[in-house]
Amino acid sequence: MKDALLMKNARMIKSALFMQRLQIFLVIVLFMAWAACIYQLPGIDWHSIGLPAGQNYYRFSKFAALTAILLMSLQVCSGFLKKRGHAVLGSSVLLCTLTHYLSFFYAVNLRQGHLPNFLLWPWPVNEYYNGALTIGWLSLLMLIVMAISGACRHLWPRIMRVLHHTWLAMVVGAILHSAMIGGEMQSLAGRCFYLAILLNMMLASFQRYAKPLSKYFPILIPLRATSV
Amino acid sequence: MPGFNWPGFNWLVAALCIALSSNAFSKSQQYITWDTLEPDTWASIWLIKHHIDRDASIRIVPTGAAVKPQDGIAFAVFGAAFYRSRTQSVYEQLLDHYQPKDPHLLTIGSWMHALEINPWQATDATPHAEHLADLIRDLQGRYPQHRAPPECYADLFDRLYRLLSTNQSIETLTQFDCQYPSSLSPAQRSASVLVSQLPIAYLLNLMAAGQRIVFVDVREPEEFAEKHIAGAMNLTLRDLTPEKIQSLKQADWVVSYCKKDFRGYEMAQALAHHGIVNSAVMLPYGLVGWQSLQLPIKSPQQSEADALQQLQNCAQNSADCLKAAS
Repeated sequence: MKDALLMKNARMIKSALFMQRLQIFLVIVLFMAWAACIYQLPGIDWHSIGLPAGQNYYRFSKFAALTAILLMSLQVCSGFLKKRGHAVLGSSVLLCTLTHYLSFFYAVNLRQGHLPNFLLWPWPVNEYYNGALTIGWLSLLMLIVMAISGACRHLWPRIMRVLHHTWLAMVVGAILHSAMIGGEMQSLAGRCFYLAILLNMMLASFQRYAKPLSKYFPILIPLRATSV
Repeated sequence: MPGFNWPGFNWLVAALCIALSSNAFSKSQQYITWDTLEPDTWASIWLIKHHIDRDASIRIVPTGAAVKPQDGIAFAVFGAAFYRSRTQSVYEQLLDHYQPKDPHLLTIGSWMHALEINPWQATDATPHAEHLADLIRDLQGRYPQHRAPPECYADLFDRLYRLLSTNQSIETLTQFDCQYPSSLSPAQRSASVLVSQLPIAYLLNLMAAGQRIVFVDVREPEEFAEKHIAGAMNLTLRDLTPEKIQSLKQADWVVSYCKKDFRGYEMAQALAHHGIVNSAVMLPYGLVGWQSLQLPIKSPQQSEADALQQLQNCAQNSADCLKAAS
């Protein structure tokens, strides 16, 4: 009886419908996490009166960052499950991450009135903030390397494959950057967002590796249909 | 329309027409001023709303905020066409520009002149101006932090105007009872959500004058531990609770900051929305701006009391302190 219940739960968790619901939940929590780290959503008036220069670009940058994290998790899932659209998702991750970086760069430029050189080449000089910036910046570089290695995978397949497999360091770096100065991770919505992302990635990896492991653990039944 | 049978099309066209027409007809002239609301500014707001353009909307923005010509007509804003000069108050400039025929408005203009431009030289208008100043002081004194509802000022000037119209002396109005509740009115609420941007030199002067300035450091605890403004409290947006908001209400100014004031401004806005009327950020922005003036910072090697003493000394001699930095 207990085994049957466990099997039922395992099937439910691995079902395509569950994955879809989880991803809808992720999008909702993304907006909630965004709202938790900014007080007021940007208005239509992009250069609102009284708002310090660059504030709306900062808010937009936050949204781009959270979207990039969400897409990154879906990209990891699509990689695990060898799904179509991996290249499109990867390009979207790159686009969102660049949007995050450039809009923050522009926001700081507007705020300071001059080019923020420290954002072009951040370095952890005895400061927590700079350390967090450096980690994010290195993740962006790795993401660019990964995009190039994905696009040029036919040129030098073995080298590109190895380069593309640094994704784990990139994801860890991005999440670490977010946890250090993102601010949203400590909020309830932010925690739900990151937990749902981890759950999503864990489920995908589970589906990928469940089949080989199922001969040792019969409860791990591979899925017939999945969705990302 | 042949070949086009989408049933929602008519509804879409109708909705678009309504949206466009409502936008076109509801466009009223916007007047913008800073939130340093002195008697001259209140009188000017009353003049605009009651005698120049009844449909006008008044927008009050934080002191120091840049106002672009396309935003509306700026008054009592530095650099605007209507800005107090050595010879004219803002109210008088508005009168000169719009030329209303009413002589009583000119009389109120002479009071404003006596109050704002020529307070040391006695004229015929001086006694009336002083009486008006007393009425305004009395009105402000009855509200916390001198934030009387804007409707009260409008009522006051209306009462004065009626007295003038009926040839009565304004001295007959000895006490002005405003009927509006002390809770924030909608207009004041919209004004209070705005965040002031105070120059650091001005903040130091306030500290020297004994005002209670509370600095709220919005950065992460790790960043706070590295360095912060002496006496600052570490409070992130996610940790904002009603108890903490209540404790901040005792302060004369609550200045939120982070590294470059992106997070700091969000916090300042949140505090303003939660009823802290004197919520501000500093200029130049953030800890970067503070450090650019080489003002004292509490480092891990220093005790909080020492750092605070250093900051107090700097505030007492702010001119020298800032000069040394420049």
